[in-house]
Amino acid sequence: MSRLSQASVVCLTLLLASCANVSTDPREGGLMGGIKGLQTGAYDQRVQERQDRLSQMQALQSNLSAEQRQLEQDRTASQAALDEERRRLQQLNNNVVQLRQNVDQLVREQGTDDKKVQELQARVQTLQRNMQRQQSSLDALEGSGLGDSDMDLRRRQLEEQRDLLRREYDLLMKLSLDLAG
Amino acid sequence: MITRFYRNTVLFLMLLLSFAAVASAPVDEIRDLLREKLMPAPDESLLAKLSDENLVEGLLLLDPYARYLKPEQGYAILPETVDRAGIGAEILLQQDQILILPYQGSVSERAGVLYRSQLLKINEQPITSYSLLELAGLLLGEEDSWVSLLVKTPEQELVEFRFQREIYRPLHVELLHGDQRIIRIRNFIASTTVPALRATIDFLSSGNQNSHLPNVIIDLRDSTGGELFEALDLAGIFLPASTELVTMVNREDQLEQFYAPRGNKYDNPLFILIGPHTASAAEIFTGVLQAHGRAIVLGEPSFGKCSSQTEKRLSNHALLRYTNREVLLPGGEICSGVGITPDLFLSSDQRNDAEYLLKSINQWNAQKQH
Repeated sequence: MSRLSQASVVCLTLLLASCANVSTDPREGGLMGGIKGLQTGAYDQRVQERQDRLSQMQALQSNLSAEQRQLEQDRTASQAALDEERRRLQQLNNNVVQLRQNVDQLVREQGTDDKKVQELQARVQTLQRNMQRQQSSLDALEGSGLGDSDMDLRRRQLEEQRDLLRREYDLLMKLSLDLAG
Repeated sequence: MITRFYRNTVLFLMLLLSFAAVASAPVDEIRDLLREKLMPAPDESLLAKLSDENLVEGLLLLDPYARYLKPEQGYAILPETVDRAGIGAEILLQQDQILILPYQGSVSERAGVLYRSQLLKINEQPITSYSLLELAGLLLGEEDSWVSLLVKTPEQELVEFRFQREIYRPLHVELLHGDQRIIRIRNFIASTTVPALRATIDFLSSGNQNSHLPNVIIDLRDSTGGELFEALDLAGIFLPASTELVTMVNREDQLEQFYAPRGNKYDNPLFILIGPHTASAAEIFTGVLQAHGRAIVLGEPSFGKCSSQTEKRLSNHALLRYTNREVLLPGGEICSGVGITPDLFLSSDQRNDAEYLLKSINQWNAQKQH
């Protein structure tokens, strides 16, 4: 075998040997790797894997963004519910103040000897105290350090309690009208 | 009205008591009132010994649930009305140990202090030489000021905590965390506990994915009572309208019966957890529901105090609270001195283990279905 032939065999052997160790990872690149990757389809596979991973990350990001939006929506809804509760309580408070004035007027007109009027006056005073407590509890809710879920529970409890106060107000209003009539 | 039972010596009651019996009291008026109304009829020699100086002790000899509250102390001090910063917990003297009962969402709970941990040190000072009231003083302080606690957890582990005091308003009805959630009621408060429990059950139901109604599990282990009529109203939301609740008997043996009112009712399976410190309105609530087969009661027998107290405004505008009626459970069953016997006995350790408790409830449900 001539020297040229011997050198070609060595080169070919080296070439094949290097091909056997060529990575198919497109990031590692190189002429031989590229040739081998293109020949075997591994390059396309790697690209597909990368694209799949990218899609997964995009989906994850999308989920996180959706969760974030949901949390913000929840917080906004929670704040709106709290604002609404404040508005309702303020309205009820105005009504109770008006009721108190009506009952005081009733006391002036009918005197304090009337037991029913006395009882009504006492119940209105109790209602006013409970209204103050309710207002104070609602004020304390913001910045209370409670987590979202606990805060939601607390707000719902306060709503039910306000509803009970409203029913007491309705009853006392009816009583006051009966007594005035 | 049944007052919050004092034996457990809960912090806020101690605060309230500390103000009592200092100003001059109308002793003759108190004697006359008790002679006429106290149930059972008082011992005349004890009445005669009653004086301005020994009013607190003298009243307790006549009636263990009697209280004299100065005019400015006419309304009970509830945790939610105390706007001082603290650790957001009750402290409780029990078997010579000071226990900490953090409120849901409070700074102490968020810091990780476990319910029923034993308090050992405050700001590195051992607490052995302090009274409960003095300990309360050490725990309360300026908002954002630092406090450190050394506690022994229910698992006997020593843990140190350091956090800043906060002003805290507790939830009226607490909801403990877990897969199946446990509702804790510490006190029955007029016009407050019923709506709070309704809201809490609705809150639980709103997250329920199952087709069947979720269990309602109420923890009354540390509930020493409160307003009797609130407790009766609360029992009423689980019972059909017109169901017998209790019968009250006064000193003249006159009977007055109470029945469940109309309104929205809850059909959820109901489980109530009690212990030796469950007393007064809490055990009456439990006894009513157990008597009608509406609730399964778990734990240990309750304390056995089912008398009812009333409050009378005195001429000096102070309040006198005294026992005036005995409360009988449905069917005329006596509860005072007996307590409520649980359907399923759970030891102290078992009661403190939420997992075990829930497992017991699930087993009970499974047996019932068979």
